[in-house]
Amino acid sequence: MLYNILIVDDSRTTRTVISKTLKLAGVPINQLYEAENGKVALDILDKSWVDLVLADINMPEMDGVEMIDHMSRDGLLKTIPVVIVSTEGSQTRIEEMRSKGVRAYVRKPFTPELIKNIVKDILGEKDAK
Amino acid sequence: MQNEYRTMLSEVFLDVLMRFAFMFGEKCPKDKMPLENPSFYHARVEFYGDRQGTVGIMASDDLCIEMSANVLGTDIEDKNSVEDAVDTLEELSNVVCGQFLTSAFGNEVIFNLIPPSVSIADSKEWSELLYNDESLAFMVEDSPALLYLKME
Repeated sequence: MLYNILIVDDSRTTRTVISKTLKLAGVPINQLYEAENGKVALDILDKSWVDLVLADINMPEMDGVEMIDHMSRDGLLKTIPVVIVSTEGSQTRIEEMRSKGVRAYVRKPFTPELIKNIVKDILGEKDAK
Repeated sequence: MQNEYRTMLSEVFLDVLMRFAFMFGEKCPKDKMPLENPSFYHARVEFYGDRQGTVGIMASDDLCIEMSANVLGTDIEDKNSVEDAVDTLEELSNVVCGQFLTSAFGNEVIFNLIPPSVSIADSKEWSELLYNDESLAFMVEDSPALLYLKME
């Protein structure tokens, strides 16, 4: 099975590093979408089916918290697994994100192995369903 | 206390530099720092929450380009290198700020970070920051960089 994955981060550097990591890790990808903030991400989610979202928290226009709030209120979007990739280190914020359905949390700076393992775990679960 | 925070910031900066950009840096006496360079980039990240302030990094353009090439696995001669350098410095400052806040205030407190901004700085701005008591000086693989924290 090939997956559609959306990377949401205002840093082009981070989007590129995650994208390269996924490709080098051999994640079976159909389409990789990129968005520089939550608003652009929601537009993409409105038009295209996505299997997994990797998102930052601190972004201009619409941050990751607001984007996840929107997703959690939508019957279809709330079923898409979200992984937060952020410099945010507050346990309180992480718990808040988990309570809204966020599946995993990766703190920046991350290792490619960590991203690879989390993505493969989540997509593996999807395959098993 | 401000000195304690600056020490923490310095440690976080060197650690993030190594893990994010695979580069090694060390603190450098200010009188050994170069004064002239064609241009510098100046990144700032503002934060607010329990405390509010700014973390800033000023670095030579050569250092930013090299850092970006390291992170992205590209060649420093690539046509996007300047644009990439600015973006990479922004992300470095963002990660340094986030990691510093957790080191300094623990992981129970929520801080909000305003997305970083970068401007070009000239030698005058560099000299002013270099001789400011709040700044810390580093040499990162033969290129100069300054780091500072302003906090209320």
